[in-house]
Amino acid sequence: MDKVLRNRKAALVFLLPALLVYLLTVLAPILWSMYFSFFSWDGVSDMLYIGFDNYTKMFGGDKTFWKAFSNNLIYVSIIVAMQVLLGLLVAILLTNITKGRELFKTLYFAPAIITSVAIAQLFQNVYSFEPVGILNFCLQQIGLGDWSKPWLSDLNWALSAVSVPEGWRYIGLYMIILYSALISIPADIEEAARIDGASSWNLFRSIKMPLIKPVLMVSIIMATTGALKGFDIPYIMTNGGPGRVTELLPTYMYKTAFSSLDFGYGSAMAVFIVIESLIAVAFIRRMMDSKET
Amino acid sequence: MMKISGYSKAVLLVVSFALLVIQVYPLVWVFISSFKGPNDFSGDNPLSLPSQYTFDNYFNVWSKGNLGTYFSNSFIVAVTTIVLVILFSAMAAFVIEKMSFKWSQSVLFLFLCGIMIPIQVVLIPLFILYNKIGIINTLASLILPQVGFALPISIYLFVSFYKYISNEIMEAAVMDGCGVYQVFWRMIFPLSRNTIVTVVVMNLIFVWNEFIFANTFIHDLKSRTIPVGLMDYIGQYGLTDWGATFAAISITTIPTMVVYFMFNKSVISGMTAGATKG
Repeated sequence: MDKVLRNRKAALVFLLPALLVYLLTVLAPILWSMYFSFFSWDGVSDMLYIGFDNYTKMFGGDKTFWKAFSNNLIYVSIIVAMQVLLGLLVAILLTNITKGRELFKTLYFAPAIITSVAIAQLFQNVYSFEPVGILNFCLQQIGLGDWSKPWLSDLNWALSAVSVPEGWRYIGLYMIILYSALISIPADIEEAARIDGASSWNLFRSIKMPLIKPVLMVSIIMATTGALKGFDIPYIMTNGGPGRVTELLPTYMYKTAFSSLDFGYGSAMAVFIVIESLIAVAFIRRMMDSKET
Repeated sequence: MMKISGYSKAVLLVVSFALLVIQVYPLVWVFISSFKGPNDFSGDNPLSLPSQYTFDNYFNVWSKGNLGTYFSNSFIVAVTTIVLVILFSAMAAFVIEKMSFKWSQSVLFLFLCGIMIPIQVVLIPLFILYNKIGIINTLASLILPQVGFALPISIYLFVSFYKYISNEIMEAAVMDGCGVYQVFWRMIFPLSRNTIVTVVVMNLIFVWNEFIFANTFIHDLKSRTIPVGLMDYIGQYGLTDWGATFAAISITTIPTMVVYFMFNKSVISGMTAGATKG
């Protein structure tokens, strides 16, 4: 048996296709990006080695970079709050529903399977001012007509407006992850706490929360890294505008590379996005761990 | 489970239902609006039903646009990507989990790193590479990176399934004279039917909806896939033909919806696995 499975040639035949495609399309390009980030290059003329100039430009003088960075933080906060908090709320609601749980889950998850282009177009319509879109129409109906505005071109609201659709579409995903964690809590733990007279809130705060904390942490990490690379919806809805109020790092990087044809600087930003995601993961783990003790 | 009764139960039901409406109604609304005529879109009640149901939008997007081309491109990309992902990841996972060799854990780790990688970081190098080797504007430029990015989670799913296959049954097959290829093709691969379904449906949805690669590597109408094609109905001055857009969204979402409602457990489990394996 061991002899059959220790077949070196077969192992290579089986492993090589996956390894080759993966190396060629995922791993090698990361290294190339790092390499390109030390050059000034428009894709046509000769590559010019400029050392860390792209990075000093990025951290030093580029105001748009920092604007995009701070926009990204707001974008991430809105999305993580929506996905994890609302996801948790719905998950708790779901544990209290007896009938139609499966149908509820299935329907709730539905927005996650639709292309981001369609989501962006749907929300463009929701936010529309002229002709009146769903959001402004609803505001008018409940007597808040004064609040109606062209959300996507309003300097104060555009960033929130492009963040909400991305948060909205994956609430169902986090709801299901957190729901599975909640229903895996053994029933006797809960009963024991009930008998001791714990209220629903206390039960949730002191018993359920600690038990689902690992899953909650994973959810926060995934929502954060997912939002850090958020691109499609802001790119399609506003393309960074008006001005730079909805510019995010991925959209800025994309425009730098493919509109301004500054491949070197674009690569430096791409490298930054990877590092930023890694730092975010480490930071969240740290925070959640220190809370425990 | 937590039991709540009477008044609070009613509140809970109302809240749950309201949240469900917020989540699902917009999708229903897109579908309803696809039957509206042009006058209905300039009206002052976006939530109203069509004043007259019309199939004009569907007729227009199908006959005037390039939707047929986009459909067949998306179909080719999806089928090719998924076949390659299934074969490559099932085989690689078999080597990693069952043919344990010295570096199998390192290879697995190398693949799992891919789950963390944001797609944006590979765009520039791949764009340059594809230009050099001349596959920009071809469907191959979409298939290759999508296979690459689908491999990590697919391999992870296959490896976790293979863990449950006992070595005894493989041993029995070997005793009967099966070689390693036969053990895989006749036994392990057919046994993993459930994992195959999960990987297929999950990737079908991801690939069908993929936007960034398609927007970056394809500039030629002939090789365009559906997501980018959905933006065709934005005319000059940014005015969108909403009837056509909603009809196009409705038609192109039908395949994913059908797959989703047929295999919703597999879709959900695949996508949550993708999200939680950080």
